Amino acid sequence: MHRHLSLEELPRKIVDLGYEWIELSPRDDFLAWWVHPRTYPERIASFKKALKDHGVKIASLLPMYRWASPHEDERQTAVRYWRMAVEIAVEMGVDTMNSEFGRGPSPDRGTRQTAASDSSPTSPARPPGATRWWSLSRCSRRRASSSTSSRIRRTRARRFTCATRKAIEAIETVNGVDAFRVVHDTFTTTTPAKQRYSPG
Amino acid sequence: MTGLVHISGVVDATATVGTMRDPHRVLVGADDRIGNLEQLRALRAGGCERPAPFEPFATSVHASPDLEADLRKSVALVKAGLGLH
Repeated sequence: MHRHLSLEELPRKIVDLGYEWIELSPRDDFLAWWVHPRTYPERIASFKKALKDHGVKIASLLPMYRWASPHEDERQTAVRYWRMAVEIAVEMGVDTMNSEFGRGPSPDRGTRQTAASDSSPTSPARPPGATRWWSLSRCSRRRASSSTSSRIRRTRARRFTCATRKAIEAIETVNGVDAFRVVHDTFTTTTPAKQRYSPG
Repeated sequence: MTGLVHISGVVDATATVGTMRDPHRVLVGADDRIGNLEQLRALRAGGCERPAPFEPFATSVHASPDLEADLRKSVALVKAGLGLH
C-alpha cells in the first residue's frame, strides 16, 4: 500500500507499476487501523472516479479491527466497524474482504483481562463467552515459553494445528464455510500473535 | 478451507520465538529457521495446494539492489523443496 499517496493518486501509481488490481489494506484516510472508518461519501466518490479513470479495480478490502478482543465493548465496536466495512465494500464493488483473527485486546487495555474482569479485577478470569479467546491465549502462552531454535521446531506442529483449527472453528461457528477462506501464514504459525505485528 | 499460504523466512540466529517480529521476515532461503518448506509440505500432504505469496517485511529485502534475482532464487528453492519444476 502506497500510503504516502492520496486515494486519488493511488490508481495512477498502480497503472505505472503495471497492475490492474489492488488489495486495499488499512490506511488512515479510508479503513484505518482499529478505528471508525474514515470513508466519507465525497471521499468514496472521488476514489471510485480515480479508479474508474485509470481502469484499476480493488481485488479485496482489508479491514483490521479487534473482533477477537475479550473486552465485550471492544469486540462489539469492532463488529460495528466490520459491518460498515462490508457496506463500503459493496459500495466500492468489492466482493472479497481479507482480515485477521488473532489480535486480541488493544495493548492499552492490558492483555489477559476479560470483559467480566474489567468491572471486577478479582473475579474469575474465564466468564461465559470468553472460551475461544482463552483457548487462543493458552496457545500463545505455550508459544511464548519457547526460546530456542530446537524448541521452535519441536513445537511447530502443535502451533500449526492450534492456529488453523481456531480460525476454522470460528468460521464454522458462523456457518461461514462457503464464504470464508483461511490464510495460513508460516511466520504467524511460529510466533506469538501479540508480538508479531507493527501497524503501518 | 485454506485459500492462501503466506510465506516468509527467518534467518536471524539470535531471534527466539518470543522476539521474532515482522522485521525478521525475509525471503525463504536455505537457512530458514521456521520451517517454511516443512509447513508447505504438510499443507500439500493434507491436500492444500494453494498459492503461496511472499510476506517479507524486513527492510533488508526491500532495500535489495536486485530484488528480482532474490525472488527468483527463493522461488526456485521453494519449488525444489516441494519437488516442483
